[in-house]
Amino acid sequence: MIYLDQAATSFPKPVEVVEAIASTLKNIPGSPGRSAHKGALEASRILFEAREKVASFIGAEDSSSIIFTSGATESLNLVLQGLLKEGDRVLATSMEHNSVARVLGHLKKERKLEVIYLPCDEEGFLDLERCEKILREKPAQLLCVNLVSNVTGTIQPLHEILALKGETLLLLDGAQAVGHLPLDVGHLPIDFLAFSGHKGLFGPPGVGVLYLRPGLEEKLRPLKFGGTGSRSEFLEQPPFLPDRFECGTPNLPGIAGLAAGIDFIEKIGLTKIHRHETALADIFLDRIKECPGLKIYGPQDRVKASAIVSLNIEGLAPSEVARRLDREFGVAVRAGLHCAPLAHQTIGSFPQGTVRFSFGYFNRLADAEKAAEALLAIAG
Amino acid sequence: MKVIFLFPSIHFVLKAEKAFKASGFKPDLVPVPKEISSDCGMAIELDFKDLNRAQKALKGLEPEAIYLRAPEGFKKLLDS
Repeated sequence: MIYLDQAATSFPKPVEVVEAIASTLKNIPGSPGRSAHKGALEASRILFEAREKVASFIGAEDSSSIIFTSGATESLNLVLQGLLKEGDRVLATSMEHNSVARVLGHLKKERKLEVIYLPCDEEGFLDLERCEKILREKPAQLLCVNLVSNVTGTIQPLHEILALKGETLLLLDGAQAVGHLPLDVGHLPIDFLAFSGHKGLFGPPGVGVLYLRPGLEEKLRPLKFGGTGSRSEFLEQPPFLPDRFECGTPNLPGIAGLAAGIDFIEKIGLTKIHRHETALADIFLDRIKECPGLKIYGPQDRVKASAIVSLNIEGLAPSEVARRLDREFGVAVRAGLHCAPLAHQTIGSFPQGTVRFSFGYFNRLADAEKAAEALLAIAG
Repeated sequence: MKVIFLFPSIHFVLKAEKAFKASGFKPDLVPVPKEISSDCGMAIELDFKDLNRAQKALKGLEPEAIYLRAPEGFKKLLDS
């Protein structure tokens, strides 16, 4: 199979990741922070070192500000549900994934939020002037930005957004960004960064991260409450990080796998990974761009896009194209709305959606070439 | 004689251990003595002679308390 659904989950996982997961299951007796025996201490060390590694990878000064979650969706829920109060004004780009949009939809009813979707152009880029104007009209509690679109690969202009956001808190959905693009939360005024472990970081599913700027923890109500192994004599959740937001037995194998994924990225080099992925997307695009009846979405200037390509063949439903790619050519892609109906409305592909090709580090040149040939044959 | 540093959770214990090691100390992780806290976690034990330098090595990482482990019992030296 030629796997071009890397934006859904990266595949294959590096062997180091598989080994790290297996090693915790085989060799670590105990749960982190729960006992004082050697096994539990070893588990605590794995968790601690993973947290330090994630912090260092994204430039966070203090690893206490790294919260492990079950995935980017939980990280986003933690911020949105924990921060927003009755009547708050929230801005979000019109490229958001349902992991933001559905939470906002729910909270809009529950807490009577004022939710404003900021216009983006056909390529998916945020209209900065409109964004600034809306921010100036009335301050907002939160601005949500999907840094890299899972539909088009569009990379939002982060520095420009940071320059205009003023006092408004910024929540970055980094699900498609972390592990692909360099991010340095230590030197940028990013308040919250949510990301998953199983996409760009090569970890397993079931683990994600929320980074929050130190000091913001008091503004967030926890999403869940329970045992932490600390302050056990009290019936209240501990106020300090990370225990304020982490309870229950952590997914140690998953977290160890995520840490091994970061080691892998650092061994190869983030820039090299990004160049490889985007080069494959460029080659694929180059082979198909002259094909009549093909509509390609997303940035024309591919420097402003990640290795995600969305397209449609005139007269064919995306699901039909994906089915033929899979059955006749062994090419795995994702068709439809990609859990991001707002993004498809923005780029003009709603409600049918698009066919999405997403490339990763483990894809080879031949994968891009064969996928292009297959697509051309179907477009015929 | 030994001193025992208490921290709010294992995360901070391991952060402190890292800071101590980086400054050349040899911290020993021990179960929190029942006499000083009901917490069932870990604490850090160091030589009493290193106390002042060790506190500086923590660079802003605040222990919850520091105890002296003396023959006659535990004595609180610092309370946050």
